[in-house]
Amino acid sequence: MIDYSYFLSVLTPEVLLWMVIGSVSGVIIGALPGLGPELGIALFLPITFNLTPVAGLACLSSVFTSCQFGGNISAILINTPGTSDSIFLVLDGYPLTKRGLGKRALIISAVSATVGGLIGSVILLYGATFLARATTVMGPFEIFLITLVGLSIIVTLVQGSPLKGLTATLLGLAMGFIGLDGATMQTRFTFGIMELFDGVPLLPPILGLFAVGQMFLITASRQEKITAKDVDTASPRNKVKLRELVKLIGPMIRGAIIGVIIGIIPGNGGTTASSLSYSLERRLSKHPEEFGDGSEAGVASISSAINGVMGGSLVPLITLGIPGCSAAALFLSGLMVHGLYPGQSLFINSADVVYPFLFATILAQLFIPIFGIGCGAWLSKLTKVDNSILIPIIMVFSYIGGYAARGQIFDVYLMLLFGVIGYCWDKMGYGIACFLLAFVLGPTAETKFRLSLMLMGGNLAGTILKPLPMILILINLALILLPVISAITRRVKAGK
Amino acid sequence: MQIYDFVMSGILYAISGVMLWQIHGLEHNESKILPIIVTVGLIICATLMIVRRLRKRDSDDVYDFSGSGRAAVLGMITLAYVFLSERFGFYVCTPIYMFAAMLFLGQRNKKVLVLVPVLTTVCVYLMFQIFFSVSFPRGSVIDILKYFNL
Repeated sequence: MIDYSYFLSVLTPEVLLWMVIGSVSGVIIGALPGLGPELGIALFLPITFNLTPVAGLACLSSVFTSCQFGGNISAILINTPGTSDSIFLVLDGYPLTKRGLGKRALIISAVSATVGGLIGSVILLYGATFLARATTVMGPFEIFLITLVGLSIIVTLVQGSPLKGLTATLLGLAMGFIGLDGATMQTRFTFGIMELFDGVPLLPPILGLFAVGQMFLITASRQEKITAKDVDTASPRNKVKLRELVKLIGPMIRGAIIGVIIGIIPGNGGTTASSLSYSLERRLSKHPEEFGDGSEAGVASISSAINGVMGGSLVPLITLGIPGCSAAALFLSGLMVHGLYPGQSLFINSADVVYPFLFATILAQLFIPIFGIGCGAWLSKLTKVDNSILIPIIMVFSYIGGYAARGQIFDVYLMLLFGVIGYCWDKMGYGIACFLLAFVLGPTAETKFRLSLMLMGGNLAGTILKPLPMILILINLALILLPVISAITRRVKAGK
Repeated sequence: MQIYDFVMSGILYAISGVMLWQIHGLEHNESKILPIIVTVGLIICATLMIVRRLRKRDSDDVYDFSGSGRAAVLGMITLAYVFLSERFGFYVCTPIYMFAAMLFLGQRNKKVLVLVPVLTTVCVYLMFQIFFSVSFPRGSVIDILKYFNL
């Protein structure tokens, strides 16, 4: 049973203050093209070290939520998606801005994002509680197989080449082996470096891959400013009546449901959800010709789907430890730095943290219209900040993030190294998210794998020949073999 | 033909070799199982990468590394900043780094070049040092100067 009194833990000045800071910062970061929720969470992770777990997680949740929405602002107002998830919003959001209806589109987007986010986070609250209970019937072998399912899905989803996804995943797993092996108390792959005895710390790779690497990419692109276009949001037609919003409730709800479902499936993110919801809404619409030319239903469905993904992606994260997307993987790091580990035990031993966090996630959605609509037009001006100012600031904050966790300069050098790796891999199309997910999930997978070997006691058939392990093994096999089969089929067809 | 895939494969072979050498030195067999699987996987991936590139099946897979020199310079400036911050102190080096990085990235407004580094450093100091009590490198050179009463 959910104890609703935990909601009161969120309504403290400290938690609310950090939620507001997280929301405002998240909207700004999300609105800046190229900087998404991954960077937002990565930059805020070190700050949350010094906060109580509830305030820290509520802050991260607000950053995640508002970053997702922030991307919509620049997509609508300046025709430049802030995050990859908002790409489809350009199709209908910007045409509305060109007609002087930018603020109207922004209001619709903010309300839809709130509806999508609320549905997603309510499903997160109830779904996670239910799923966490279901995990009690799973043994270590089942959890190991589920972890493999998560990794297999992500590998297959790397655009272009699954081989690169697999390589990045294996390297991530390899990095997870570094440090003291808890079971045998033997150090592995440390090369005598004292700083690595506890393993590679979480933050340097995260900040390096997502923040420093991104800054190198922007520097290489020689882009002076993110945008230079002016926006007119002062048109009197920008007011949105309540009944006009009620008319859009259908696209909002459908978008949210698609977003939640897509978010639950590991490896999928807002881009998939927004494209699916957009195409569905276009099919269902009586005026499909409006889509692509400023359809409000299009704006509503996409915005709702993007924010629905967040709640969905956190369901497998806090119950099974499988992040639904790369931002959720960073969120897992956020849980871990506060000593919280996903699963049923999280809901039993840390109920005083996890339930307030889930309630905070619901509350964070309500900040979207406040900061999104209120600051939207003003925020669009922020995207005109010179990259020559933005890049050094983010680099300094990355230094702080890398250093603050353990107070070791070694971690900052490590972060820089990962920045270079992130830059090269982005250019070469390697899955950075694959690497990070494997790094985060690797130690859990190894522990569960070993534990299951011990529990098997030589009785391999007795462990595998059960319904759940069999299903999970079949899913894993299908995920690994399907891309190979489809590649062979394509080659045979091309040969004909 | 671009050599990046070959370089990457070489790196993967090197990592695999080092891992195998390290695995060989491990006492407990339990600690070896997954690392061996991962190492074998890396060797297979590296080999497949070379084979695919040689067969030109990914000939359209062209990587654009233009502008990397500029990114490398920023990387070197940042590396120097990290190195010097340990010796001269974080709060001394941060405004200098920001000034240098902004200048390199094309910022020419004098007010911006001075105000942004100073304000950022002050904000960082107030937020992290005062509010969160997070200490950053103070710098050993400052201690040496104090030692000599300079």
